[in-house]
Parts: sequence; C-alpha cells; structure tokens
Amino acid sequence: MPIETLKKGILFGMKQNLMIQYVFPEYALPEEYASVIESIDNVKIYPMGCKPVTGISDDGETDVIVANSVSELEKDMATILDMKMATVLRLHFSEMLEQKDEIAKLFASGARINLCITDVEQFTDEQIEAYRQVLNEWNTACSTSTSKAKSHNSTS
Amino acid sequence: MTKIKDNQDAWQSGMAKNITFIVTKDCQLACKYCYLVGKNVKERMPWEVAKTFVDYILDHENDPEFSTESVAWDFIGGEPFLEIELIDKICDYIKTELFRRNHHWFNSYRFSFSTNGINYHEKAVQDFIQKNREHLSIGITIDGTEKKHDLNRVYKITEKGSYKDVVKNIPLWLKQFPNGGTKVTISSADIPYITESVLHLYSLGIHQVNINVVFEDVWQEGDDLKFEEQLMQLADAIIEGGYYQDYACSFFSEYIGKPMDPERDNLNWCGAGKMLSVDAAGNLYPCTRFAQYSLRDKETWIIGNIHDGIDKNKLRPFLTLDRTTQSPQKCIECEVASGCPWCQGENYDVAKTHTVFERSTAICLMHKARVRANNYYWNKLYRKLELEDLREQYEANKREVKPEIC
Repeated sequence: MPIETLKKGILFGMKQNLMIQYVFPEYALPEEYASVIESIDNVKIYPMGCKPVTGISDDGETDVIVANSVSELEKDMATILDMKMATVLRLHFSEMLEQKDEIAKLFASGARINLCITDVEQFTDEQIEAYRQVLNEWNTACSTSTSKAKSHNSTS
Repeated sequence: MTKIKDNQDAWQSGMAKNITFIVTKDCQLACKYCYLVGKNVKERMPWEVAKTFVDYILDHENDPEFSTESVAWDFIGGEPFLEIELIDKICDYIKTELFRRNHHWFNSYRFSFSTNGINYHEKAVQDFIQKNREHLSIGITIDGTEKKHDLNRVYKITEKGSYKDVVKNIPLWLKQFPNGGTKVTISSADIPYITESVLHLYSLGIHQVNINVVFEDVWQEGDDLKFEEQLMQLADAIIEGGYYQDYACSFFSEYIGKPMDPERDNLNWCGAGKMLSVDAAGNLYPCTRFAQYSLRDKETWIIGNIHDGIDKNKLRPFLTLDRTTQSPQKCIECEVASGCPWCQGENYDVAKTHTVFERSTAICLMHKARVRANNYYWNKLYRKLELEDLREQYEANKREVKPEIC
C-alpha cells in the first residue's frame, strides 16, 4: 500500500471513529511507515515470525498473530501465552480434521485461537457431520480443561 | 496532572427554572445572522409589567412549574444592558420579595445576561455588577477575530463593525468573571474564519468558547466539507498547542455523534415550555423564540399573560415534546444523532403548518461534518496522550460521563 493511501485510510478511520487494524505483510515495510502507522490507536496483525517495520517493536505490540499451520503455532506457543496474544490459525478443512487432536491441545492450553477455514467455499453438505463431530470433541476438551483449571484455582 | 478542560455546564443545569424578561427589542447592532427579525425601539418593558410578572411568579411558589430548586432570571433584548436602570429595579424587587416572602429561591437564584458588551464598562452597568456580583452570569458575545466579528456584528445604522468597542471591555469582564464564556455563531460566510477566531478568543483569555451554527437554512452546497476542514484545522491547533488542558470549545465533545435509543434517549433538546418568557406587553411565551420579533413566517405563540397567568392548554403541546414526536424517521435512525440540536422556535417557524411537532433538518449535513471532525479530534488527542503515557492517568481522573445537555 502506498504511504499516501495509508495516510488517507487512517484519516478516514479517524473521522468515522473506526478501530484501525493493520494486516502486515511477510516482507519488511520501509522505515517511514512506522510513524504513520503509530499515529493512531491500532490493532496489529502479523504473519507468524515476522518483524515488518523498523521502528515498531513486536515485543508487546503484536495484537494478533496469523499462522498457516499448527506446527508453526506450537513452536511459539510459550510466547503467545505469555504475551496473551490472539491468534488466527488458517487451515484447509481437511487439515483441520487431520490435526484435530493437536488443535484441541492448543485450545486446552488457554490460547486465544480463531480458526479460519480457508477453503470454506468448497464446503459440502456431506462434510457437516464431520464438522459437527470435531466441534463436539473440542467442546469436550475445552470443558474438561476449564473444569481442571477451576478446581486447580480453588484448591491453590 | 493530565487534564482536558470540560465544556462548562450552565449554572444549576437541570435544577433551575429559567424565567426571561424581554426588557427591550432594541439593540445598537444589526447582526446579519440575528434571528430577531422584529427588533424595534418602541417595545421597552414598563416597570409595572415587570413587577406584575414577578408578583405572579412568586405568588405561585407552590405550583409544580415553579417548584424547582433554583431560578435563573434571564434578561434579554435586543441588548439588555440598554435597560440597565429597569433591570436594576427589577432585580432589587426580586431580592426584596424573595426575602420578604421567605421564598425557597432566596439565595438560590442567578441573574443571567448575554450582552453584546458595548456598554459593559458604563457606570450604571458596573454599579449593577458590583451590587449583584455573587449572583450573576454574564456572557459577552465576541465572534473571534476583528474580521470575523465585523463580518456580521455591525452597528445598525452605520453598518460599522463593533469589534473594537467590544474587545476593549473583555479584560474588565474577564477580571470580574474569569470563567466567563463567549458565544460564537457561525453562518455560511463565517466558515473560513473558525480556526483563527477560536484561537483569537483563547488569546484574549477566554477559556470557554461556546460555538454553534445557525439553525436557519442558510447553508450552501459544500459548506459542510469546508466546515469539517476548518474544525480539523482547529483540532490540530488545539492539540498541538496544548490548549485542550485549559481551554474548551463546545464544538468538541466526547459525547456527540452516537446513535440514540428511541425510548431511552428521548428527551426534548431545549427547555421550551419549561421556561417562561415575558415581553413588554405582559404576554407570556414558552421561549423567547415564540415572541413575534423572533418569527419570520408564523404568528406569535402566546401561552398567557401576567394578569391571567399561564393557559395550560396552550402550554400543553410543549410539555409533550420529545425527540421522537417531532423528528423525521431519518433523524430517529441516524447513526450520529447524539448532540444534533434543534431550536423549537425555528422548527415552528419553518413548519408547513401551525405546529411545533416538525423538526427542521437544515443543519443535518453540518452536524455530520462536526461529528467527523469531532471523531478526528478525540482520536488524535487520545493517541497523543497514549504516546506520552498520560492516557491512563487522564482516564482515571476523567469527569463522570455526562451526555451533551438536553
């Protein structure tokens, strides 16, 4: 995005009282973008492992991390939990089913995960049952982990 | 401590009955945007009318409409200080009668004036101020820079600008009323001068600038965008100059530009019908805007007189006024409705029939422009505080949320 377009977008957002969200690319942005980006309250959405702009630290500044695989997310889970970042996990439907147990563990860890099915337009009615089943499994996993956490908190 | 100066509320806002004497319909000036189309030198209030009116009000202390905790006695014109001797006599009488009757308004009253400031320095006015100092609210109207002020606020015969005669009295006024606010009116031709005018008023030491666009349908195509641009320039100047800490401009308020619930947020904008005005003939009005000298196209709306009192049937429509009963659907559904004002008298004057239930929307685009600039102002100011690590401190000490007055 040209910097002038960015400035105009920010101005529009300010006048309409919108929350500005920056979706950063995987490549580094030129340095002069930093002050423009920071001229307004914002939410930063980064691809995993990216440090896109000199002058903007991602230490404590990243609001949302976008990962393209479960393994990518698992690798940085300690930081994600520590920094209380929200995450977006982008998967094909078939990948989601294949890795449902690993995903359940991520949910149980307490991380804020938004699961985004990237091939949703291919979704067919026949897949509904599988989808229902995986949601039920995750539901159980999350309930169990929440109950455990509650009982741990009440005894400690 | 970090602070952002709040816009001032009126004295005893919401708890005071407003009672207005139209002491004269004369004025030294013929301001081009003035809504008073019937000013004249003949209609000066006789003392007997004023006295009978005061007696009527005080005789009805126990009526619900006069049971408010406090009272603000407003004196308007024309120019009220042209009748300073009469005003002085009325105020002496009010004070004496409140005491004699042991009235519950004794020591809970104000005498309130909005003046053009031209004869503020004169002995009679100054003697009056000294005598009533603790019970006075006086606002001097100065519109900004000399150029902006003299664009509209001109003498009635010579059409000479009045700026120099007003500005010389500002130091005296501010010495006597350090928190005094001025009232600035914006019409189409004034838009380019808004920023420099507000900053000029700040430089004169006026910390509260109450500013509004005229309600009349004077707006030309593109005025809203020019207005927005001016307000954004003003926002930049206020934030970058740090004026927000000690100075306020009523154009910027955190509480405007939000949707309004048709049931919960359904009050009338102004106090028409809850206040009471009297003219030189002793006629009573729900607001001075319903006196004939304020109306261009409609007949006066009299709700009684000083001898027979208020005719409640004539007052009744005003007591049922609220936002939804008079607004078109587009206003009820408007996403930026809060803070969008209306004038009951102007609504009546432009309505197709003899009704107060028809809201004029002439300022719609101007309000929306104000909201955009206002959003810009607060987003920019809060970001500045955030980057300076002052935002949390400010939020912690912020005054309780109070929506723009109704």
